[in-house]
Amino acid sequence: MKKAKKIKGAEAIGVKVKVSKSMEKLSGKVLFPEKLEKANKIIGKLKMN
Amino acid sequence: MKYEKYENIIASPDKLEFQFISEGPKGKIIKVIQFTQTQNEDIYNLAFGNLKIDGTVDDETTNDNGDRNKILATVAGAVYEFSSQYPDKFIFFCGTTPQRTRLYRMALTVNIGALKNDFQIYGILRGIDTFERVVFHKGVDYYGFMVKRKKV
Repeated sequence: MKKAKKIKGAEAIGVKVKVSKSMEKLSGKVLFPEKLEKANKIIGKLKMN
Repeated sequence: MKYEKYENIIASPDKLEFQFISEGPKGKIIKVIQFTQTQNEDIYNLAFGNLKIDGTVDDETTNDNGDRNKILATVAGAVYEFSSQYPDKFIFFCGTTPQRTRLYRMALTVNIGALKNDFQIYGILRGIDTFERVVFHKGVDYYGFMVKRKKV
C-alpha cells in the first residue's frame, strides 16, 4: 500500500515555525483591511483560466 | 530558495498569522504576516507589514534594515507553512505599488525553479474591466499573483 506523502511546511526551505497561543491576539482581526479590499475588487472580476 | 531567511518564526494555532523580527541598522522591527479569506472562500489574501507597539500594523513604511530579500524569503516560509495546512486554497498577493509588485515578480522569477516543484504559480493580468489569471511566465508585467500547493 502506498504511503501518503506529507505536505512539507516551512521546514522545507529551512524556516522553523513555533506555534504560539500568544498569536491568538491577532486572530479574527483583519490587520490589512485596505489590502483585503483591493484583493476582493480584483477577485470579484477575476477570470480563471 | 536562494536567499538567507529569518529561521525562527512564530505562528498562530490556525496558521493564519505569523510573526518574526527583522534585525539590522534600524534595530528590531516586528514583522507580521496574515492570510485572510477573501470573498471567494478558496482564495486567501497574503499581506505583511510592521507590527507597531500599539498592536496596529504599518504596511507602507519601507523597511530600512537592508534585509528585503531575507524578509521575502521568510514570507515564503510562511506560505509553505500556510499551504501545508490549507493545501486546497489559493494564495493571492500583489504590491501596494507597481514597484513592489515588480519586486515580488522578480522574487518569483529568481526562485521559479524550486517553487514550481511545490506550487502552481499564476500571474494576474489586468484588462479594461476584468482581471485574468494565467500561468506565470518570466518577463510579463503582472498586476498580481496567485499560488497553490501542488498535490503530492
